[in-house]
Amino acid sequence: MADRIFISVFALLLAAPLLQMATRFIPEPYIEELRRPNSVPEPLARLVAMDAHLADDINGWFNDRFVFRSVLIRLKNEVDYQLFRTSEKSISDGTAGYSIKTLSAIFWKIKRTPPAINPFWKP
Amino acid sequence: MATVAINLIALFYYKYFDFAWQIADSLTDGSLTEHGFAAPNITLPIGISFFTFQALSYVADVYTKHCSAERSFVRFGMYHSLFPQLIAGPIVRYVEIRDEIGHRVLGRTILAEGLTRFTIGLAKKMIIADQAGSIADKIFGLDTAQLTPALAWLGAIAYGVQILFDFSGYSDMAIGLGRLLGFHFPENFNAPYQSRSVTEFWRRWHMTLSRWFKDYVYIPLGGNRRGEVRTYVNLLVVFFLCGLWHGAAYTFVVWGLFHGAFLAGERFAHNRWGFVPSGIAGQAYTLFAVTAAWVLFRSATLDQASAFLSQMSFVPARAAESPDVLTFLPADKACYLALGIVLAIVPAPKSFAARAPTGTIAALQRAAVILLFIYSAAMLSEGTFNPFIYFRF
Repeated sequence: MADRIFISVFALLLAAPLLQMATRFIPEPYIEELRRPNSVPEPLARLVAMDAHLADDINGWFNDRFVFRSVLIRLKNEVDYQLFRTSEKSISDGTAGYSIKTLSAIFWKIKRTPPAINPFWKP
Repeated sequence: MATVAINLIALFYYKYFDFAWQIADSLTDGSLTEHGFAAPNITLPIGISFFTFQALSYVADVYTKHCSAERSFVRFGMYHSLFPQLIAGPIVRYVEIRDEIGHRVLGRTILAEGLTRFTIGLAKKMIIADQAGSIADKIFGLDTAQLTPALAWLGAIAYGVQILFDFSGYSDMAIGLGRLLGFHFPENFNAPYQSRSVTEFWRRWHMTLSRWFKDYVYIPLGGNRRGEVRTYVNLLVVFFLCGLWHGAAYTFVVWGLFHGAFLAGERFAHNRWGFVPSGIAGQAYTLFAVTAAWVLFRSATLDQASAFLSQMSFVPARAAESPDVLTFLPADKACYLALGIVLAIVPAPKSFAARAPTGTIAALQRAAVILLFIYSAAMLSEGTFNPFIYFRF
């Protein structure tokens, strides 16, 4: 019985992204990103040209668009902030990354002071 | 011989041709470059070292009649391209999964085991290896003039934690995926940082590679049956090749020879005085030697490795202003690094390892696995993800 429940939970976790893609049954929060998302690669032309960076670019494009991405990012940042009062992404120098302050302000309605900037942890 | 040569030629071309070219160019004082012959800059196919060694093990086992030749191309193709372990091991011998290719048993318990093993591997990679790796990357990215003994040690230790949890995590994921498909892949790690000697370390670290070199190189060279000196030479040859297998660079070769020298030294001490490192002192000695060796493995050049090892030996050579070691240890990364160190070097209680949990404990364990899966997915999504280290070998 325990195995059945365990496997069922995993099956749900693995099926949830497909369901989300089809129905958007969970509203995904907006995340302010201080960078431009990766653009759509041109697979056919670059495949013919044996472009060694094609796989990386497809990966980058997918990584910016998969479902639950913003939910999971929010979860990670919130766990970091609650456990450690720090977040690597919260010290963005404006060129990349996410802002925990912005995330919290938008989704959690809590204003927090970002941790002191550590020059060696620029994203 | 032809099949061995075909496999090795492909491996040499993709992995070692550039390195051989650089050596030839430097031996001729750059005359190749001067005459317009540029290095070919070959793209390395992912996991080529692993699937080449797997193919060679099949050829050798058929040749030595350890297994019969597979007549079905589909069955052989399934073995040779089995995706869970194709790109980073474990290196599976054909006899180990021959029967399972045709007949696999699946059930709820097996699926649950596979999911648990996969998730533990994913968590090792995402939660510990990548966090420790970000510390190591920052320190190994410093100018060597900025290094201090504390920084050099922190970088080496962080890398030691990273590579263990990265590679053993990947092996766990491969074994877990194999279980989900009905295969039993061999174990690849057995708490290597709890070893009492470097010799024992190699019985616990990347076990399927050690087995490969023992069965297909060390024993055919004569192993320890041709006298003491020949045994030491064989060990050095095996570890020279082991270093070269990990990468086409001088740093990997020196790393391999460094380990080979320790194994030869330990065997010498055993042969002459019956001495075998043991206990806490043995574990400390092993960790010290292995951590120093990881510096060679991680450094981009031998000069960088030399600078790190000098600092780790407390040889004063500071010239530039050095950053404070604490700037590399923000709370989250320090916590995950400490967790990795404890898990790596402290043995689990025997009662914990021997008994399968039941009842509430089992339910809590399952819940923890699900939470680990979600948190690992969150870490993956957050974008601090690094490629798996062993994919490049």
